[in-house]
Amino acid sequence: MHPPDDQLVAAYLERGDTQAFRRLVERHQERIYGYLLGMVRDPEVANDLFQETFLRVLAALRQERASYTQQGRWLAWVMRIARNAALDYLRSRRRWQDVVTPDEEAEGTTFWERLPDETPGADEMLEQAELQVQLAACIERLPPEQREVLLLRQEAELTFREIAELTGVSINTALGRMRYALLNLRKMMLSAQKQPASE
Amino acid sequence: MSKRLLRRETSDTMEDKRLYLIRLLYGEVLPDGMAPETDSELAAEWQAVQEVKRWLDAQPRRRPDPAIIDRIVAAAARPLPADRPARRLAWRRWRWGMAVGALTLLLMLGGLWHRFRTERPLVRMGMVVAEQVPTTPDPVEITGWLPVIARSTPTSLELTPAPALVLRWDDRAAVQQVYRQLQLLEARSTSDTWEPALPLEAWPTGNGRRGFVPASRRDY
Repeated sequence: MHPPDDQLVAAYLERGDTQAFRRLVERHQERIYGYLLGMVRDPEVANDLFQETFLRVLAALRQERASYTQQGRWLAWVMRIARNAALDYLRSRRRWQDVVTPDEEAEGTTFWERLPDETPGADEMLEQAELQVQLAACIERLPPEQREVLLLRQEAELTFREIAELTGVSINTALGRMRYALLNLRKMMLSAQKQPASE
Repeated sequence: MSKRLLRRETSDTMEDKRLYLIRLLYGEVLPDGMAPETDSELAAEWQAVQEVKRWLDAQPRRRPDPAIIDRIVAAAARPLPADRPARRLAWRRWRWGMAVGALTLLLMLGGLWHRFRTERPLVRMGMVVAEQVPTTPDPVEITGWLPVIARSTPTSLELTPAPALVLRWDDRAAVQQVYRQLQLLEARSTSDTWEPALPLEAWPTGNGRRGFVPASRRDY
């Protein structure tokens, strides 16, 4: 039995049923977390943003005026909040990156570059899942607009219409970005697969 | 021109087909009879996007830390502020109290204003009359329409000994003051009046003779 999202929202709001809210979170955790991870590319930060997203959701649900009114579109509503949280984080990170201390300037490195590199080594990467790692790296290199549409469709499973509404573009623009994202990914993957062979 | 239009139409249609492929790939549209494999250009693209989709679908789904979920649910379980309805009621009461207070203050201010507004002119008039009543008014020549006003002034007021007991607006001295002001205004405005009319014959014509000459008397 899978009660729809709206029914679970109503159970939480009307009866304070926290188990209903837990089901909502667990039902969509992969979609929301997958999108956030794709955006920030750091599991710790993605966890924080996931929590921040649902705290904002709770705050919005508890306010009378800004309550959830888009019946039948719970995920799209939560994704809007998640996207805002991710964009806030990316903006703040960019602000930090812009600040360069004189020491860093002298050394030619930034604070972020001097952080310990926690990415696994090449051998380990190959052992785990070479294709997935390559794909993730290629997704990272996509232009931001294309990457966002790809993540919203592939990870969050929003429809192109919902993506268009969320990002404020026409549906054809969203479709066009997705098309270029897929074609660029393929191009990058093919060139990445050729490089080790040639070396 | 027609070739260019045709090319644009063709490219637009092609673009539409490519975007249609993306929707078809994600199951947002049903195949409408167009098989991408039949079109050589579309077939290559269809294969390419399908291949990338397979790679993407093969990626493992990632989940947040379970502790995060517990923290979120714990936050959701926190009760709403218990005194929320009471605070709302207090806020309503405060708003009503403020409105009633403001209305009372407005009424009080209006009452005070009304009281001083009716009393102040009487006091001022009394002072004027007290200064002017003992003085003898200068004799004035009554001309024009002003005698009408002068005649309408009741003579009994001239004999009233106590100015404070009579109606201030009806006092003789006040009437005389108004009369003097009117006379002054009339004297000032006489310069703007028209002089007596001249007969047309008296106007200079510019031909050496005064006045107009009837046509029958003209000698051409």
